[in-house]
Amino acid sequence: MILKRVPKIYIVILLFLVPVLIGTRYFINNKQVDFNADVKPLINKKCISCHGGVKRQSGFSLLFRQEALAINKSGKVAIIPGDAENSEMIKRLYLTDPEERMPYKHPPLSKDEISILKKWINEGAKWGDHWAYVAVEETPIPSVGVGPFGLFGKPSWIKNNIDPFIYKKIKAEGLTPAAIADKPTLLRRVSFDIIGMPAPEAIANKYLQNNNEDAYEILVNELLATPQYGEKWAGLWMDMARYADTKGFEKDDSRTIWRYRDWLINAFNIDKPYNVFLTEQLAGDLLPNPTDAQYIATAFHRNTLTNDEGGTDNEEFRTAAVIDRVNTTWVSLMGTTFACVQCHSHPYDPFKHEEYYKFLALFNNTRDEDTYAEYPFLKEFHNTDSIRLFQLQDWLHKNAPSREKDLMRFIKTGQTAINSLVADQIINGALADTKWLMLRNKGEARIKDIDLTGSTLLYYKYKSWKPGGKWEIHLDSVTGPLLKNIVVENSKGNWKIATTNIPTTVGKHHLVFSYNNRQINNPEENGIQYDWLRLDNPFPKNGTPEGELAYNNFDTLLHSTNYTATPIMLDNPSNMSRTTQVFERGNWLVKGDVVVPDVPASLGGLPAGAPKNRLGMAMWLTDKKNPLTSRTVVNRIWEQLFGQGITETLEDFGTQGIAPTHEELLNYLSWQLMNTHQWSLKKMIKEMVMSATYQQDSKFNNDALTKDPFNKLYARGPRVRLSAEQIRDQALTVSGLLSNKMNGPSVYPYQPEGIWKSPYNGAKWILSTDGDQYRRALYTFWKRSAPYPSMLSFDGTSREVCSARRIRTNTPLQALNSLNDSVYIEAAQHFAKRVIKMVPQNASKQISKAYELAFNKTIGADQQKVFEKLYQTALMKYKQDSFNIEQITGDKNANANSAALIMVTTAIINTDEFLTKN
Amino acid sequence: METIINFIGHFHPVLVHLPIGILLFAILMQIISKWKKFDQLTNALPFAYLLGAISAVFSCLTGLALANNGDYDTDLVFKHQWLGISVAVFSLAGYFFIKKNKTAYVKWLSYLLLLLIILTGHLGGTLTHGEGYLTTGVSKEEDGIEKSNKPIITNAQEALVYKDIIQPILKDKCYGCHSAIKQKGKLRLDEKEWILKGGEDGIIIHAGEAMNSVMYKNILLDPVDEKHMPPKGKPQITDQERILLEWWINTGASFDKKVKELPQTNSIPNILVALQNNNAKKVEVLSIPEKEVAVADEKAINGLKNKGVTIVKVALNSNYLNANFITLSHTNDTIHDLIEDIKENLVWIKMPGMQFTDALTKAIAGCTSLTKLSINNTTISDMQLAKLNSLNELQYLNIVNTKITLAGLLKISNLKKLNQLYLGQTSITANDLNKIKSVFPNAKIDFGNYQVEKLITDTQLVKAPEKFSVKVTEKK
Amino acid sequence: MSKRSNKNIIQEANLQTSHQITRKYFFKECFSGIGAMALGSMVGGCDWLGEKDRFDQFANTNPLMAQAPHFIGKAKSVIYLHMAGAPSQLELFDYKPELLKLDGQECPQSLLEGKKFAFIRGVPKMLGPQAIFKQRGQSGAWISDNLPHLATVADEISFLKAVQTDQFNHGPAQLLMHTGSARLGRPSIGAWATYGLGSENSNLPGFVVLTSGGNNPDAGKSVWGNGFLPSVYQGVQCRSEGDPVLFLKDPAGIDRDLRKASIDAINEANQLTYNEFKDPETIARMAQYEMAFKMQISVPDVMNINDEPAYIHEMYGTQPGTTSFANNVLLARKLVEKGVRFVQLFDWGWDSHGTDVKNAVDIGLVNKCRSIDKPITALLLDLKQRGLLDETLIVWGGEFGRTPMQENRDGKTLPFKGRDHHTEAFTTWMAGGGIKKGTSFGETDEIGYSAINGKVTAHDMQATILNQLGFDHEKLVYPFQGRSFRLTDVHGRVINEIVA
Repeated sequence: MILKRVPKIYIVILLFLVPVLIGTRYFINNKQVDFNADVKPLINKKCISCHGGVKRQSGFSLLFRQEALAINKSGKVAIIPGDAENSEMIKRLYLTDPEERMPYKHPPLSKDEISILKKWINEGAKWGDHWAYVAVEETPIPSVGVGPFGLFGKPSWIKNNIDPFIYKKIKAEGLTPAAIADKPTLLRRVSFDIIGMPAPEAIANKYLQNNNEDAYEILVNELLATPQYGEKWAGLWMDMARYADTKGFEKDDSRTIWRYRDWLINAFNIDKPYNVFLTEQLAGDLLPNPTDAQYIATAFHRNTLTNDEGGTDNEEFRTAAVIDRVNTTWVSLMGTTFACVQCHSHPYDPFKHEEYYKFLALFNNTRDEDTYAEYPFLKEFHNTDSIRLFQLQDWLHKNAPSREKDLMRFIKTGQTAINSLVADQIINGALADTKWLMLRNKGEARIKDIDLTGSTLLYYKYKSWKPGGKWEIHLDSVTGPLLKNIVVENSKGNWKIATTNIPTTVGKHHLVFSYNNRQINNPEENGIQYDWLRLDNPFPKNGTPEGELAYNNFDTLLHSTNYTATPIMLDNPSNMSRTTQVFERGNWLVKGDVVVPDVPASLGGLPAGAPKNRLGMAMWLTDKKNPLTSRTVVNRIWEQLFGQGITETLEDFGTQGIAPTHEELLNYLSWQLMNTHQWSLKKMIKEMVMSATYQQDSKFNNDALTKDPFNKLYARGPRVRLSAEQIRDQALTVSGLLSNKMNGPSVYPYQPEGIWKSPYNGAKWILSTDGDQYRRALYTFWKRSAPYPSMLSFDGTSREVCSARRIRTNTPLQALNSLNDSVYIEAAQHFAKRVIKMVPQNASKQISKAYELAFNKTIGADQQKVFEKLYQTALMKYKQDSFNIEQITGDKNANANSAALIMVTTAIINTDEFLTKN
Repeated sequence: METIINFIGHFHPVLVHLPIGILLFAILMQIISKWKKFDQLTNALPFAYLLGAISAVFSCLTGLALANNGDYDTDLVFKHQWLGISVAVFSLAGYFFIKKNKTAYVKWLSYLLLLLIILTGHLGGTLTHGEGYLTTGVSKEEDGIEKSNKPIITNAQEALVYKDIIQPILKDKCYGCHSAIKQKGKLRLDEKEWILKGGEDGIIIHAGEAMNSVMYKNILLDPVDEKHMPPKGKPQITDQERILLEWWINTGASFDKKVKELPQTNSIPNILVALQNNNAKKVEVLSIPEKEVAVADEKAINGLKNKGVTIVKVALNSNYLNANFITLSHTNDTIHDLIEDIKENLVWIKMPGMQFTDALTKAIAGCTSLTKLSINNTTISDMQLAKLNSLNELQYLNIVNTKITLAGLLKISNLKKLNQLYLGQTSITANDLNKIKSVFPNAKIDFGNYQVEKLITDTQLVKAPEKFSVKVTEKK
Repeated sequence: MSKRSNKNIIQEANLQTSHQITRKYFFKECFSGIGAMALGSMVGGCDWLGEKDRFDQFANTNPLMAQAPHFIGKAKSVIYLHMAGAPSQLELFDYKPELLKLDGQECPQSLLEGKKFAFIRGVPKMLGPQAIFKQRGQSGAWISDNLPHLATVADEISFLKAVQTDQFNHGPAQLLMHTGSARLGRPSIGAWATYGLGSENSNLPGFVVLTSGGNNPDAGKSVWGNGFLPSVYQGVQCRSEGDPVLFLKDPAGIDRDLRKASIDAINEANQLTYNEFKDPETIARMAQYEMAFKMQISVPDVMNINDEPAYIHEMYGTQPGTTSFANNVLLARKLVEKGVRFVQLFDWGWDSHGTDVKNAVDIGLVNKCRSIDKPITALLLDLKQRGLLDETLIVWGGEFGRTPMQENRDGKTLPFKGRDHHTEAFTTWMAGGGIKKGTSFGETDEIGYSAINGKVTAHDMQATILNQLGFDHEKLVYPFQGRSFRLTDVHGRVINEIVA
């Protein structure tokens, strides 16, 4: 009856309007929500900290779709795809009660934010793949053209395929790319970037005099061919490998691992394909018949810390090392913060808690056990012994091929041996300083689960102090069957390797030791101390003369100390392999379920036929399908050249990292590296430095300052401070002091007194002589607990854990360092000497010469003025007192002029222009 | 179905305001319509009442929907519900009375309605915002944390274990979610009965066994654990409180016994004593002025920074500034002007060893918000100090090692807030204490020149008895 | 010229960097806080809890620019006295008459089962307190005769009697105490403090480290390292002999005037470079060189104790020209007086195993105590009379405690009385900086083996230290590897029981 009063027309209109309204609504909102662009960031910012991998408040997690759609503790479903209104998650955003409203205890979401989530749920709540976890595809080069529709071809600025990616964005932001930098600037820039120091004079001059088109390319080729190239890039890799010359904890004793550094230098110089480069470092020992070099490559993961502190639990620090290997592998090689997953599922990225331990299992089967000697290591024998080794191998090959592999491995790596520190149930004895099993008179100890099958000979390395020691080995218990009764020869407190025959026994047994010595009356006097045991068989053909001859070689090598040792990775034999368990909440003492070695599911499983060990892992890592490996290294190279990565967070490509500024470019380059360049880093570097983007002038124009202060668009060349190493190497180069000697043990350049003060460690820093004090920075001895000071002040890392990226800072301590450190004073002195030798007379000529030597270009009038003023001021001072002249020049009969010139060279060494890559 | 009802329920908080507004307005109209001037309003009354009634009915419906979800105190809901319904009924009645011109009823009915609306509204408010919502706003401190009115315990042994010791803890830390206002997990802790009854997971206290009492165990849980109480982010049970709760449960969770009637193990007595009075000496903690202040002039701040003054907000959320002139030995007019520009904001000033000019004195004297002034080792004179008597907020004054005399100090005796005076190495000595006390009665006064007495042992070394001439090779 | 140029530089720099910031803010890129470090304006990165206020703090080229805390802090600076090697609580503060009764008896199995010790093997004997204890001051705190002077200021101190750790080796335990993690790679508490607050005195480092006892701490410089924070926040090790800060002294043959002349020349050249490249970083570098020049004056000045009056040397028992804990304590006072934010002292040689006279609890330990007793007492009184105690937080402690049992390394009886490392309970104390005076929190069982109430951890102490400085330890974070790290990791509770 109401209807009667309302004119029908209105109803008609109404009925007509409804579908229209609905329709328009539909048409307006038909653009789909992009999970990665719109939703994920929102979730990560507002929700994930309580509803992610770490915490799952009321059982709700937004990490994986299936988790998010599950029923929660409340019995309600948070997300009902297609039905935002009834999704509890959305409801909670609206409530008023602070206890119920989400985000809990944080400001509510804005209308827009909520509507995004609603829309996303209504569209089916789809989860998207994060760009960095998608395999690299071939990427088309963006078409950029001049004039309408690019009718007039490409812009002349563009030099190679990198440039269109950059150019497009620059244009989009209304900027214009900078012109190509002048030759001297370019020379200096590309030299530091490729070889980490100024170019050798010959190469430099050749480039400066050559005015042809190809001059720059020739320069690049020549730089890539110099051995200094390997040194520069090895230096970078040493940060990631946390390379250091000491063990790390407390007394922080030295470790010889420099052979690995040299391996790196060589690997870069011969341009070892990156996939091989990685495979050898991760699993060189597992390759068929590994070469010494391949063994040494595995030292990559022996740069972990070893704790020699007394009273430490060796298993704890072995575990710590394994964990570090896992984290380092991910952060440095795959730009992913896997470490988070140690204690719980990843807070933001698709990695599950147990997956961490599956991956850890791949690393958890190596022989190293935090032993004092850092077993296992590779022995590279010197002079005569190296010949013996060759002879021995040759002989074994011909006469006992079946034993060759095993015996050679024993001689070269000392493996497989059982470290005495695994002993337990010790009576009248102890793990001396928790490093070696030590027994006193009437001492007992046990070594668990030893497979005796097929062994008839026992090697043992021990120390004893008195004759008359009797050592019995029983099976399974002290009352168990006697395996062997050994009269211990007095080694007079020296380490000694001895052998004894043992009866053939089958299966795994506990070896229970008992030690008695009547000559020891003091119940607290040490009787015998063990280092390791090895089960083996007699040397082949012994007894026969030829056998004797070979055995002689074998025995000499076994006792030889005439070798360089390098810690390496070696896996346990099958009868000693470890099982891996999940650590609850990352606590290594609280063991959870047993896991089998594997790689995270979200990045595609192991390739077909890959073994479930480090080698398989390396195959997976270097597989073209692995989305992270190529992107990570390409991004790192870019960062070296441009001062920042395409993805700024080199260490984190995950959803919390900074999104790449040029995602397509990153993909393009990754594809290039793997396919076009066949993993050649030199080719990759060349492509980058040949780009116009790289060659641009680095001056800030006003646009740059306002529109792009951080040069994220690359509308100008890179301008960054040099690294700690480069600053030193440059100073030594211009002063002509630099020694171009390569490789070898680390060296000790000048370092102030009192830096080294480790407890229980008398080691002193003894200045290297005959040129070694002027070696390139990467050869400087690196003590973890007290690194070389100027390395630290110029943002070097302390190399305790992998650091995927150095952060540049700018502090007064750096100024003091380059002003007053004797290294730089000496450099300045020789710099001045060098100038004077070239230009004996005329201060202003000398000054301009100095500048020219430093920058390969002629000095500007203004600079000339500045330095001449300084020169005159100094000259006047020095003319007044000869004492200071001698002080500053370090030369009795030097004159005021040379002293004054030193002030100028010091100044040059400290200018921003000199400390910066322009 | 469930969800739909819930959904409807959510409209209650919005709808309820319609009947309140409409009916109150109706009543207002009805009252003023007595005046000739407004009598024509009476024509609007029926419509107003009808509208009010209808909206009231809807509010009731949505209210009923809301009542069946959300953990609300049942008997509060009960009252609110029926009052609400009666509002609806009476307003309808009103409508018909007016139509039937029963003005006599209408008058009384309107008063009654007014009352009902107020009551219903209040209960509704209590339901959403919690008990004593109206009052708490008043008793709140500026920091927003509610004062817990702990009973003063003079003699802990005589105190009632539940009423005086346990209940205050519960009130402080648990009532927020487990009392009349809210019953998270269907649990209330504000009455003996409720406590014994427990929550949705059953009994929470096993008298005599704290370790088997959910109430206690949940306190022990790792704070990140979901069951941990009080939940992360809420004020936590302190160690002392925990021990007291444990002790209370272990001794039988008594609700009436006195402390002394219960066995007291190792640490309990100390803690009880601690409850009586905190034996730790009081530490003067500087406060900044109550009144807020405008943001300081950025230019002036940067100006001072460029002069080498360290100047920074006392806290991120405050506009008050703390200035340290440590790197300067003397000031100039530029600096004085810059100080002038931010005089309202400066609360702490440090300028040890400063050349004290009259201009500088004047500049400082202008900083009337100043609570802390360190001018030790400066050249300040009595005359200059006297000029600082304008610093009414000043609480801390450090004039160590200056020429200031007692006479000079007494010149600022008007600064009543001064409660810390550092007078070391001045002509003022402990002998003047009474004089100073007389003007700054509650100030902590430090005359310095402390000494550490000389002991022979200071420089002696203890030696090992002879028999230990042999050294064991030391290793660790 | 130089004076003027100096002024211009800094003002220009302020202009430039504040410019950067608005840019950065515009970019809304949290992490470019890191990217921006190259631009010399890198205080604080970006707290993604959205503390926009931090952004207006950027207006300076000095990365150690003073910063506002979250709330008004009671302490402005911290002096942390770490006794490296772990002093025995049972000979100093934790008085256990019961233990005396058990002296020489075999340790009950119940205390050994499932427990790990660094050196104790088999069944050790109990070792009674090797010192005489008295209650001191109004607070009645128990302090042994090993610390007669400290006893006189007992009423200034808040003791933590039930501190616990889970690390029983020196290196890792020290790391846990100072970086919140037993593994290497995290920033130290001093680094966090300077990252949060900057320095009060632009002419001095914000975080200074002083070591004594002949060795660096077992964990090496990592206990004052910057971890993943920018290296500018690492502790600057100052030495009381030789160059107080590395490379501070001008080389022989260069006097102040010449140094000034050369720095002017450098910066004039840099000005030219700036005119050409307009790179803000150049401006920043110029400012750093000016600052370096100032440091060359201010640091030796503050590091020189010769000019301290005689009565001060009396008080501290200091002897200029030597390296001693006493000297370092006096330096610590001078440093905080000058506005240094965090002063970290490490005194090595507190390990008391009894393997040697030097580490016997009844001999070596006594001597160590004598070397710290007077200076620490003097420090408290001296700060007090300078009106600085209430704004300077003093923290004293080791990395763990010592066992009530006598150590029997390798199952032998050692020549001297000693105690093994102990994680279950040990004593540390705090004073000044808004901490209660004359109180004690936590207690151990009757033999001092385990804590029975008032347990606190390294993370709790760290949370408390930050709290005194005005920080919510859960909000002082630094974004690194896609996660916001904090000193206390996921733990830590402010020990309100001792906060005034």
